Amino acid sequence: MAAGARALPGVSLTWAIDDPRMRRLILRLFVAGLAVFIGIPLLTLVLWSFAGEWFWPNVIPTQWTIRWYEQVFENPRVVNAMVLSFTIAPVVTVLTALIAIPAGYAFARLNVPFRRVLLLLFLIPNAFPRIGLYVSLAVLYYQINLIDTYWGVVFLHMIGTLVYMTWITTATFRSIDPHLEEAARDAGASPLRAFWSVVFPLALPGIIVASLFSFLASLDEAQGTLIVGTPHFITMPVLMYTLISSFERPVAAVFSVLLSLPSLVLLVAAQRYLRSEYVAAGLGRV
Amino acid sequence: MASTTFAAPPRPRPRRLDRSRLAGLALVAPSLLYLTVFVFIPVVKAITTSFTVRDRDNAGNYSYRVGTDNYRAIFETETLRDNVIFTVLIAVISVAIVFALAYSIALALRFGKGPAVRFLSRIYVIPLFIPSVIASYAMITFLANHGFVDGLLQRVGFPDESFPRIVFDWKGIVITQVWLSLPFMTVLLSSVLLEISDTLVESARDVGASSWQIFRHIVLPLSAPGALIGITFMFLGVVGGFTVPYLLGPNAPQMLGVSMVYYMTNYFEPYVASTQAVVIFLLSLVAAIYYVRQQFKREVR
Amino acid sequence: MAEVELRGVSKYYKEVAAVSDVSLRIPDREFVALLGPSGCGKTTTLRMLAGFIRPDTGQILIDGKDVTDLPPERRPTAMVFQSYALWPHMTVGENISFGLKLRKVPAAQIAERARAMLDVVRLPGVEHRFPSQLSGGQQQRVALARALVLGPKILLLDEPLSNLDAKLRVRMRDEIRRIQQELQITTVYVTHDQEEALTMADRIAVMNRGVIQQLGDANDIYDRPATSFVADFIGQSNFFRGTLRRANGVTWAHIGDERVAVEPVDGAPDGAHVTVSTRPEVVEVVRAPEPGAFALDDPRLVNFGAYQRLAGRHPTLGPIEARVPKSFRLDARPVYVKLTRARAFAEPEAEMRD
Repeated sequence: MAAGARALPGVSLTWAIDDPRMRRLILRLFVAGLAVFIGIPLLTLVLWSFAGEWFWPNVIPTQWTIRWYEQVFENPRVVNAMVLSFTIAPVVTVLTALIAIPAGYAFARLNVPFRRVLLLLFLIPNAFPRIGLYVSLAVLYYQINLIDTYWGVVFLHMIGTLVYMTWITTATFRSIDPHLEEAARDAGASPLRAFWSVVFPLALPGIIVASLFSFLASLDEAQGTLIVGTPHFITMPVLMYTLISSFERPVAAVFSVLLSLPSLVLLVAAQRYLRSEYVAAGLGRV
Repeated sequence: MASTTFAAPPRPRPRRLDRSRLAGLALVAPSLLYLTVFVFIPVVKAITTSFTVRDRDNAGNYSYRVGTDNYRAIFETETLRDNVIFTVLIAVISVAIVFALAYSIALALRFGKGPAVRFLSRIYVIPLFIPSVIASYAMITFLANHGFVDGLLQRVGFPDESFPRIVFDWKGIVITQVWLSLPFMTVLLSSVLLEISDTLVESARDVGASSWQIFRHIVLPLSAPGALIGITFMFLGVVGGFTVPYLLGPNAPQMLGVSMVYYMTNYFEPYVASTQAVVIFLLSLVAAIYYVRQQFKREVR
Repeated sequence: MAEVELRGVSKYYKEVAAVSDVSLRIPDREFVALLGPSGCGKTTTLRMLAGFIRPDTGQILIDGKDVTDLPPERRPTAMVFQSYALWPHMTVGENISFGLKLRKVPAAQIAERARAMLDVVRLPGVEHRFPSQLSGGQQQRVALARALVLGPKILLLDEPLSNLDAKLRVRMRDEIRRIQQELQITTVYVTHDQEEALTMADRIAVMNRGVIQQLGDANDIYDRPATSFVADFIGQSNFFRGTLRRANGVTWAHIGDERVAVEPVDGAPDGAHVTVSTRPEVVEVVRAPEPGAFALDDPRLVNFGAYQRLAGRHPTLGPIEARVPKSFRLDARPVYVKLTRARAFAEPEAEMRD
């Protein structure tokens, strides 16, 4: 190729992505922009939670304090909400696991009758607009006395977690070589024993990820809980609605940091199990 | 060669009912029971309620009948109709932006390397782990008039009151939806792009295709079906969402999720609320049908 | 000690017969190979023996006892899987002891038997390793040990060597045969590799389309194939299509204007359409015309290292191949072939391998 032709990139605007240096520059700018977009809003919340004095338009607080944290932990409403959230989430996770894991196994391995119809039914919770579903559920709750009850909230949280966990466990069970299970049967294990000794340990990473996400989903569920849990079952994110509208900015900021912590801790703890397949499987991409 | 010489013998009756079919049904039954009570019945109820009309006579007594009045109200009352249009517009804009951003990230993660890409792979997942209430609040403090960005701009010399209204406006909803949905769409697109084998890309490069041509003629078409699932799913999420528009949206027009909750909890009007739910469902029906069909195709494969 | 019998066993998927009315008796200590192309029903047959698939019709008997309705865990069979199916979360020792533990064998005895079995498969001292730390051949040996430690009456092997490289495959072949002889265990071996079947098995059942086409030892199926499918699937054959005619005690196949003497055919009338086959190694090559020799046009030589193959065309018969020694040279003289020991099969064309 002639040197002159190289110097002229031509009329196409896309020359930049074929030039390694330009490509690197574009990539870095893109990553930097994204980091700012994702990170700075969260960082401002952290700053606010420690702000003793922060007059606009200063970019950072002029005085620092931890008194908002003390205040939040002394507030009985906040403590109650925390206790409630952390008693609902594990129950939701365990109940979901108990009914979703068998279903996931059946979809992955067994010859389920009416399989197509059942799979369609399992997609409906994702296809019907969630808030519409919650509003209807609230009407039903009034009739069966589940409105403003602990179990009412638990069952509502399970709508999202059940579908998610069913799909993830289906994908997980399907990824395990069926011969492993057959080998166990061949060695004399009953179907239950083969599942417990071979399939379950191998599926554990997927089940752990699904449980973590269910736990977080329950911890973070706000809109449905707001509708069926008020006034007595105020979980952390529901309380957050009130805090935001009450304009107590540092208190809300502290609460935000506290509410995000479990997720971030779990994210770090579960990092080695986190594979994109699991997240994608949550959509029903089995 | 056709096996015409071998007439297929009629299938004999199975020896007995297949045990695995019964076991399969038994294992699915608890989930199915749960879904029936907490999903199917409410959905059916919402549909029937939306066709129930409540009339009030002069004495103040209520009477009920079946009719489409609720639907007519939604499309004839200006504020309600505006809500529908607003909801669709917001959903379309948010999905478009998220898709473009997420596709760029997914491409960088799939085909790029180096420290910038490694850093990118760490940060893009963060919003997945932030509750939507917190994300909304973070965006309020960040983007509000007299918020963080406004202050920063003041500091570098922009005139006072020059910052546009973002929070309590459609822009606020869109930006927050983008922030929240980005990781999910990216993860999905990444897994789609992973299914495209390197050999396809390399062979195209071999015949002299530029990066753009490879993207346009190979990567994009191959990733389209998976990408559409993500788009559909996110559309459904935005249209049926409450938290973000409730905290960051304008008072009017409202997104349907917000309007529905108001009708339910403030005006005790389950009829209008249910009708709105069904309208959202119908709006997303095309998307929902597409979503379900794609899942079925995967299932068959 | 252990005899297996399949009686009229069939398995259908939708309307298609995967296995169709298969009957097979395997006496004690015999090594039988089920040989056939993929989709021929051999693996389905094996899995019905193991109890993973329930046959739609027929019975399976082990030592005269009907096990048709018994689940795998209650059958005295042990299977070695193509993928080995070693449990990746257990050590080699745990893999081998799993079945013994289920049978409540005392712990000391378990360790002893696991060690002894690893000695039998010549892989001592790997109890504490995980399967992923072993090579393919080693994993294969562990899978064998895991199957054999339970003292099964019947050993079932599903293409156990197909994941190994060629050299190792030959070694494991001898190894499996040695262990089978040592333990005197009735064995059913599924493979699509004719060399494996021919070298290892006492008898071979050649399967196609869910049916056993021929059951016999290596010489039976190689020298006296019962169907054109067997002639084609095992080794190589030249094929011609013709019509059967008997004259003066000789059976002939008329192919166009030519005719070829074939082995006597039972049960097919004169005039029946037949498929004629003969193996390249029994085709005789001569350089001068003589009765029954066909002139070969455009002869070519293909070198196979150990021997050469002569390929050419006859205007009426079509392509013909013959095996010739490495010393064979082509020159200006014409080449003639004599088709000896040809066999004729009177059967529908559909029986031919697709």
